[in-house]
Amino acid sequence: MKKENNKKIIPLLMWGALSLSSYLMIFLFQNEVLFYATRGGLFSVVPILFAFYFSFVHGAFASYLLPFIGVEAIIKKEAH
Amino acid sequence: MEGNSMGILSNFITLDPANILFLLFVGFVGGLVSGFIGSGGAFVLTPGMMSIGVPGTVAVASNMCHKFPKAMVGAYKRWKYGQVDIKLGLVMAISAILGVQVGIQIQEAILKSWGNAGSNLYVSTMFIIVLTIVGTYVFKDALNMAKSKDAKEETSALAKRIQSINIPPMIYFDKIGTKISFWVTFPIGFFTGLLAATIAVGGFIGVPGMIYILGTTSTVGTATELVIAFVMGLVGSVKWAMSGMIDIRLTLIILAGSLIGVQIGAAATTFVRPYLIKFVMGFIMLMVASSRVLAVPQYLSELNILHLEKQLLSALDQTSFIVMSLTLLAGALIIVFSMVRGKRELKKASTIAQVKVTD
Repeated sequence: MKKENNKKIIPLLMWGALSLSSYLMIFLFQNEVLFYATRGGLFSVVPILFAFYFSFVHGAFASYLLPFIGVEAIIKKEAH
Repeated sequence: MEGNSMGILSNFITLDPANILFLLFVGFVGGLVSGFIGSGGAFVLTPGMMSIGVPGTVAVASNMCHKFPKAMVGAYKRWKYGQVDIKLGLVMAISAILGVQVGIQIQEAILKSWGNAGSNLYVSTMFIIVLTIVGTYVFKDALNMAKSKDAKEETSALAKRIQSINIPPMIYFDKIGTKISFWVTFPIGFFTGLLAATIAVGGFIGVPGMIYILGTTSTVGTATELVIAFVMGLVGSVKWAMSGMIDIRLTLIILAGSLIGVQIGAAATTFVRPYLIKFVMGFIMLMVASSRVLAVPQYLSELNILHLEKQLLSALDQTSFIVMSLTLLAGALIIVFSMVRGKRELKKASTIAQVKVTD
């Protein structure tokens, strides 16, 4: 169990660092980001892409974080 | 660029550390509740954002944009637990997309005619009506289930009658185990979408609709709602982005908290009995409705319909905020506590296999 945790700490830290630095970039350049994200037209993809990018990066971080701190689910197959 | 952006930014709030921390907390609880009851993350978030001064339309738009990737993660997790009826989710989502289009048109028309105060009043009034009706029904049902000895979910009498309607096209749904007419699923999907574009929470119609009208279990209903939320959230977000209403900063802060919360909430569903899911859902709905009632006088005053003293308005506004915060905290504690207790019981029994959330 301890070995398993040690193996997973590297991706946890990597995803965590990527997520944190991405958030820092957004807030350092928040005026520019808002400007392009609210222009409409073809620029409508900007907020959508940001949402996908952050949910992927931060979601990956969360997926490593939760089992690491002991949050697990039990499998329960649903009958009708 | 500065000149241009100032015009656009006037609709968006300035973020300070306190606001960011508050939004992170609200995002986490929103995610937790959303993963647990399958909907409702945004009903926590929309009023949460409005309580720190975000205009109603921007709050709804920014929520919708954070919701679809989160719903995608939640749907995937619940699908792995075998709880999602994908066909039902897609059939409902197609009708919901139509509802979202109509809902956004209504929002834009209100914003154009009455400004932010009109939009805030509209969003809050819809919250109060829907949350009170659905919350009371769900809460009563949860109490009845808790009282009954076997505490098993039974298909409602209404669902049994609906299932016997035979107007083509009839569609077979795996998790319900029977055929249901498209003309029954269509209005539920449509109004789910309409409500999603109005208050950013379609699940309040979608989930009870699937449970009480179509006859799914609450676990399947809440899980399938996540598929609908993903599809219509994506389509709705593109439409909101076209009109420049998404404050991407708010979207991303909320996402940071809720992506962690949603996975904890989804895992917690596997530990609890179905009546507890309904109990938490009903409780939060009724409390959030009361919090919105307290915020209405402020909007009426901004529209010059009601004239009250500033001090009274400010006191009402603060009380509304406190009621909201306490409700969120209570909801979060119930979910986390249930999970901890479930895990403890499981450890004692130590007979059921466990798998990690990420596997």
